[in-house]
Amino acid sequence: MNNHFKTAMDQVKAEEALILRTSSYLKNVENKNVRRNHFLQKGNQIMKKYAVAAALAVALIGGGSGVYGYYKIPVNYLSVDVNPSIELGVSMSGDVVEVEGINEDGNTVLEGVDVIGTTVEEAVQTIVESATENNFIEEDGSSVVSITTETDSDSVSEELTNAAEEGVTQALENENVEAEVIKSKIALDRRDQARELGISPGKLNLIQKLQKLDSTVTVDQYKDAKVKEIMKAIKDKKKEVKADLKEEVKEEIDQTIEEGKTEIDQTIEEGKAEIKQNVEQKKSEIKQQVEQKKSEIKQKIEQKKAEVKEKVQQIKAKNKNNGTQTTVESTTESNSQ
Amino acid sequence: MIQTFDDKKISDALEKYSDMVRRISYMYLRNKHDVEDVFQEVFLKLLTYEKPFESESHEKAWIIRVAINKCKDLSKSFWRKNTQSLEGVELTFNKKEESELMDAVLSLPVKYKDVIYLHYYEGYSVPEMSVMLNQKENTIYSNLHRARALLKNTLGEYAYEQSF
Repeated sequence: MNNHFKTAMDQVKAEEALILRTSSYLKNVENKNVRRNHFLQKGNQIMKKYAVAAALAVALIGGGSGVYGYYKIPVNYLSVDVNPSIELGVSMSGDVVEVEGINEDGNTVLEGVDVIGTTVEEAVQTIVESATENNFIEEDGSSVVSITTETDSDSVSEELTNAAEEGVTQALENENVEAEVIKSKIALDRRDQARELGISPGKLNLIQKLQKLDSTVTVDQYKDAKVKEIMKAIKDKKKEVKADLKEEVKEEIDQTIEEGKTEIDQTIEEGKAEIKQNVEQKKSEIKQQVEQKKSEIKQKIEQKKAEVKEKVQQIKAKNKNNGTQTTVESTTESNSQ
Repeated sequence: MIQTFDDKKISDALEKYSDMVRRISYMYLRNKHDVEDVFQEVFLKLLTYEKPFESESHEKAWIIRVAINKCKDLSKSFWRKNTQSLEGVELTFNKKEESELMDAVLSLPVKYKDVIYLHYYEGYSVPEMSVMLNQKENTIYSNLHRARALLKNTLGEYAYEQSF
């Protein structure tokens, strides 16, 4: 039987040159690069496309630097906030390709610090160390370091968060200070919103959290606040809301108890009335029965009396008859004497 | 730490699977660079795969799946759709019938190519393909059915009968 599909496909073989090129690629790829490639694969497909498009545009406009440009384009971001706010732009290969202080303190921290071209972990470590040296991390351990990833991919967010957290931990350890680390992620479109407001996305995220708890809060109010202060406001507000809630629940319980009490009282009253009524009814029934019995007895007595009277009459009548006879007899007796 | 892959591992993997990966990429791609991309990704994934495979056939099925996915990704991509490939990877077959058949197969929509390849070349059953492609058996059946109908239509009844 013919099977052209199979015989044709059997003729398809990997070209020698293709095998050689793949082999040399695999021999030269280092595990470090493997990890980065892995990171790249997980990256957001759409961003990847835009990045490629942008890189090609650069290539067309600027000539031969296309490939260079491609690797230099930040596709995801990460913001570090203490009060200094700094944002890192991360390329597809996971390198920091852009760094920006979003407030004045952020610029202070970045003075004399170069993190371009390093990994996210190294960059965050350098930044937190510099922040500590510039006295932005308090010695009592009360400071809060916020790490916010700005990406549309969950897996990238996780990788960036882990790398940044590692960097913060290392820096705190090196500087021998303590601080609370909070992590969050936002989508890229919220980053634009933050930048319009001139604030770091991480901070905006926290302020928006606070706004959810207290609608009167404005961004301006907390724009220059430390993360620690915003966190404190959030915690306080949460406590307040909790306390309000507690109060509300307590009131509700009290009300329910009160209502329950009234209801019980009412039931008891009703019960009492019912019992009273029953007792009255029973009493009158008994009274009636007693009356009836009484009258029955009375009637019986009357009857008995009548009977007795009759009997007495009968006896009397009898006795009268006997007396006449006796008289007769005695007369007879006296006659015979 | 810098660590490269074992040379022997690389050559073993390539020897064992490069023809298969080439066939799969042939089904989907017409561009030399795309094929090279598929090769790099598939073999890199294989070398960095950390868990042991249960069996030879498990390993093979895994590679087929990775290769098909990568090929589909590339064939779906914006750049492929909107640019003409400059260097086609044209192959000539021994027989005219074979060339005609392959032209017909290659012109099938992407979603039918995998079932044709897996079923008629690799000999996988519908339930096996259902697992590999993560699709319902019914979907596989109907894709297979539609692919056959399309091929019959293009090739004619007789040529179709000679083909599979």
